[in-house]
Amino acid sequence: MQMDSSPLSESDDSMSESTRVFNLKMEKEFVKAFPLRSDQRISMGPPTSTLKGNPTFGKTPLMRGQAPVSTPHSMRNMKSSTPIRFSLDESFITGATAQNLSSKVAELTTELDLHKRKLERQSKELATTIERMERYKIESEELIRGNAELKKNKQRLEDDLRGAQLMTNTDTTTNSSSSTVINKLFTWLEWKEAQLNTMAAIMASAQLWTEDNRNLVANSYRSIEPIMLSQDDVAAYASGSVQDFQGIHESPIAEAVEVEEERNPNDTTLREDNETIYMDESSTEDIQNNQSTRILPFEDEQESAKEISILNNTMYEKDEKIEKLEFELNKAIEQLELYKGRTTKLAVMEEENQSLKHRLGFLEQMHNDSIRDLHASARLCENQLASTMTSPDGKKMEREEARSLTLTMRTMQRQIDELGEIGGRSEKELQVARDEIMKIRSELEASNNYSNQLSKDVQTMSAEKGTLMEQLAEAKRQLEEVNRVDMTTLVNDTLVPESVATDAGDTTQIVHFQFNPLDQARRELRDEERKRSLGGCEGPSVKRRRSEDDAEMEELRKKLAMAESRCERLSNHSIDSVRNFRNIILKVTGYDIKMKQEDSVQLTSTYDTLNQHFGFMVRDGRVEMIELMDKPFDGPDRFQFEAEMWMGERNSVPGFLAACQIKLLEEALVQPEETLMYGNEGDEFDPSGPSFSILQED
Amino acid sequence: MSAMDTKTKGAISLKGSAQLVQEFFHYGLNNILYQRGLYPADSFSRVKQYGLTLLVTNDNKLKAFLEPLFQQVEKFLAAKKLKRLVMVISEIKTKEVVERWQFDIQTEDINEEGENSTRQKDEKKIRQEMGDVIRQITASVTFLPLLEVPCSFDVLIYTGKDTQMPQDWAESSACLIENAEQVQLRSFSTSVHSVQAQVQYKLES
Repeated sequence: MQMDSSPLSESDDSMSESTRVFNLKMEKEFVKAFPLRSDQRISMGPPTSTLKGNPTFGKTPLMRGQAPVSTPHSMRNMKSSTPIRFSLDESFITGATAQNLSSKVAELTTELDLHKRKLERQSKELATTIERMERYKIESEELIRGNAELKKNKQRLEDDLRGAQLMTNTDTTTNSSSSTVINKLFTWLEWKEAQLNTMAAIMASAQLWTEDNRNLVANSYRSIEPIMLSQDDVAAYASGSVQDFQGIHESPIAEAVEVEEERNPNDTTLREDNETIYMDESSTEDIQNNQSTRILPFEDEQESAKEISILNNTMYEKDEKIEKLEFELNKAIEQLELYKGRTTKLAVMEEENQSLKHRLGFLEQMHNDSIRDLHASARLCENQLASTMTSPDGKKMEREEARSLTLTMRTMQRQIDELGEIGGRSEKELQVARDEIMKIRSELEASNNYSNQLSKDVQTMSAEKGTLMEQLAEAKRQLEEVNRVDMTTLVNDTLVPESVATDAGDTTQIVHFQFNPLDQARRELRDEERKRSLGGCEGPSVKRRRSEDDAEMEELRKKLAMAESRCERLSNHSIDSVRNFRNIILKVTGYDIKMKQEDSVQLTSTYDTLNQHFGFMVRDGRVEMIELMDKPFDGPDRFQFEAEMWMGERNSVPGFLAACQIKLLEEALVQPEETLMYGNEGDEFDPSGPSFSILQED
Repeated sequence: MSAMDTKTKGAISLKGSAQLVQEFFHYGLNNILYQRGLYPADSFSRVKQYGLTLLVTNDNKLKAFLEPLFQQVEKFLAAKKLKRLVMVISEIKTKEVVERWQFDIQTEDINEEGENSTRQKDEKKIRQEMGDVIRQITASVTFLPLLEVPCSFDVLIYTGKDTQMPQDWAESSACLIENAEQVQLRSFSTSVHSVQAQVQYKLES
C-alpha cells in the first residue's frame, strides 16, 4: 500500500497521459540500468542518502530477492486508465504468453481502427450516395413535370391539328359534294333532254306540238322562283344515285294522268302522251330550277364577292392555324431537344450510379470480410485467454489482465455490433436508393418512349403541315386567279383614261429628248440630297467643282511662280544689259548719261574735273538744252561759245558735246597733275578714250 | 453647206429655210438661256449674228444636248414635220413649269426639189426679222419674273403622230402653265417657214 502514497501514485490522476507514460518509461529504463542495486541495498544495509533522494527506491519497500514487478493495485490503476499503459509495462512481464497477448491486442486494436476508418469511409460514401439519390429525385421530378407539360403541348397540338383537319375535311367534303351534285345534275339533264326530245317527237306525231303548246312549254318556268341550295341540300343530293334525283315529281304526273283518264278513260295513247308531256314540263321546270340553282350564284356579284370573302377568311384562318402549328411545333422540338439532353445526362448519371453500386458492393464485401476476420480474431483471443487463464503457470495478475482484455474485447464487440447495425442501416438505405434508381430508370425509359412518340408525332405533323401548305398554296393560287379576273374586269369596266392637259391636236405628238437637262438636273439634285442624307455634306458637283478649282489654283500658282522667276531673270538681265550699255557709252562718248525723266537726260563728262553736267530735254522730237553745267541754258557759262557755235549756228547737239569734250580734255591736259575723274572713282585717265556718238537726234 | 448654197438671188428652198430656222433656234435658245440665267454667264461666249452681239454657250454638256437637238429640228423642218418648238423652263425641285417659250411653225406647201421648190425672199430681210425677234426676246427679260429657285429647261417638239422618232426621244406632256400670262412676240418668215414666237410665264403669287 506504500505505492499509493508514492509521488507517482499521488500524481497519477493529476498527471497528463504523456507525463505518466514518460515517468513509467524512465522508471523502466532506470530499473533496466540498475538491476542489481536493490539486491545490493538489501544485502548491504539501508540505502545511502543519495539513494534516499530517489522517490521510487527511497519509499518503496522492496522485498529481498524479489524482482521489481508492479503490484496488482498499480496494475489496476493502470488498467483503469488505458490499455496502452499496460503494454508499456511489458518489461515487468517476463512471461511469453503475456507478450503474445499484448501483441495480439495491439493487432486487434489496429485492425479495429482500420475497420473504423473503413466504416467511416463507407458512411461517407453512403452519405454521398444518398445525396446523389436526392439529386436524382429532384431531377426525376423535373422530368416528370416536363413530361406533363409535353403531354399538354402534344394534346394542344393534336387538338389544333384535328381542328385544321376538320376544316380541311369540311372544305374537301363540300367541294366533293358540290362536284358530285353538279355531275349528277348534268347527267340528269342529259337524260331529261333525251326524254324531252322523245316527248317532242311524240307530240309532233300526235300533232300536239303546236305553237301554243310550244309557248306553253317555253313559258312554264316563269312562275317558279329560283332555288338556293344549302350545304345540307348539297350533301343530300350528293348521296345516292342520279336516278334518285327528284327532278320530276311523280305525283303531279300521276294526277295529270288520272285527270286525263277521267276525261278519256279509253285513250291509253293519250295517257302515255300526257305522261310524256307532264314529264317534259316537269323536267323543264326542274332543268330551269337546277339551272337557276347552278347559275344564280355566279350571276349575283354580291354572292360572288361574299364567297370570295369567305374563302379569303378561310385562307387567313388556315394561315393563322398553320403559323400557330409551326410555332407549337418549334416549341415541341425545343422541348424535345431539352429532354434529349436531360436523357443523356440521366444516362451518364445512371452509369455513375452503376459504378457506385459496384463499389458499394465491393465495400460491403470487404466490410463483411473484415467483420468475419474480427470475429475470428476475437474468438482466437478468447481461446488464448482461456488457455492462458487455465494454464498452471497463470498468475493472478495475468488473470486480471485477461479479464480486462475480455472487457476490452467485449467493448470492441459492442462497437463492432454497432458498426454492423450502422452497416445494416446503410444497406437498407442503399436498398431504398436502389429502388429509387430503378424507379428513375423506369421513368427515364417512359420518358424516352414518350420522346420517341413525340418525335413521330412531330414528323407526322410536319408531313401534314406540308400537305396543308400545298393545299393553301393551291387555294391561294385559285384565289389570285379569281381576283385577277375580277380586277381585269373591274379595270376594263371602270377605269377611265385620265385626261392630260395638252395643246396638241389629235394628229400631233409631243416629244422630247429622254436625257434632257431638266431630268439630268433633277437626278443630280436627288443624288446630292441622298448623299447629304447619308452624311455627306457636299454634293458631287460641289466636290467636283472644288477639286477643279483647286487644280486650277494650283496650275495658276505654278504659272505665277514661273512668270515671277522669268520676270526676275529678265529684270536681272535687263539691269546687267543697262549697266553694260552705260559702261560702253561712257567709254565710247566719255559722257555718263542718266535718264532723269521720260523726256529728259543728264550728261556728265568724264573729263570734267568740276563734275558738272549738261541737261537735255526732248520735246516734239527736238533736243533742247535745259541745263548747262548746273545752270540754266540761257545763263553765261564756260561753254557758251561752243553752245552758240554748235547748237545755235549749226544746230548740232553732238557737235556741241564733242566740242565740250575736246575743251574739257584740253583743260585736263593743261592740268596733268590734277586727278581726273574717269567714270567711277579710281579709274585711270585714258586720253585716247571716248569717241563721239549722237545720243538722240531729231 | 450654208443656207446661201441653196439659194440663188433671193430664192430660198425648203432645205435652206430649214437651215436658217434651225440657226435662229440655235441663237434664240442660247440667248434665252443666257438672259434667264439658267447657266453661268462666264460659260457663254459672244458672237456677232443678225447684226447683234449674241451669246452662245461653251458648256460641253449643254452643247452635247443642243447639237443633236438642232440637227433633229433641221431634219424635221426640212421634212415639213415640225409644227411647234417649245422651250420649257421648270423648277428643278418641283418640276413646276415657270416659263414656256413657244415657237409655232407654219410650213408652206413647197416641194423639196423640182417645180415649186423655191420661194423668193431676201436673206438679209429674213435675218433682220430674226434679229428683231431675238432682240424682243432679250427685251422680254424686263417683264419676266425673276427666277429665284434653281431651274432647268427642256425642249419639246410638236410633230405629226405618224412621224418616226429616233431613239433617245420619248413622248412628253405639253408642260402647260395653268393660268399663265402670255405675251405674243414678233414673228418672222423665210417665205417657206413662218415662225411665231410667244412666251408664257407663271405669274408671281
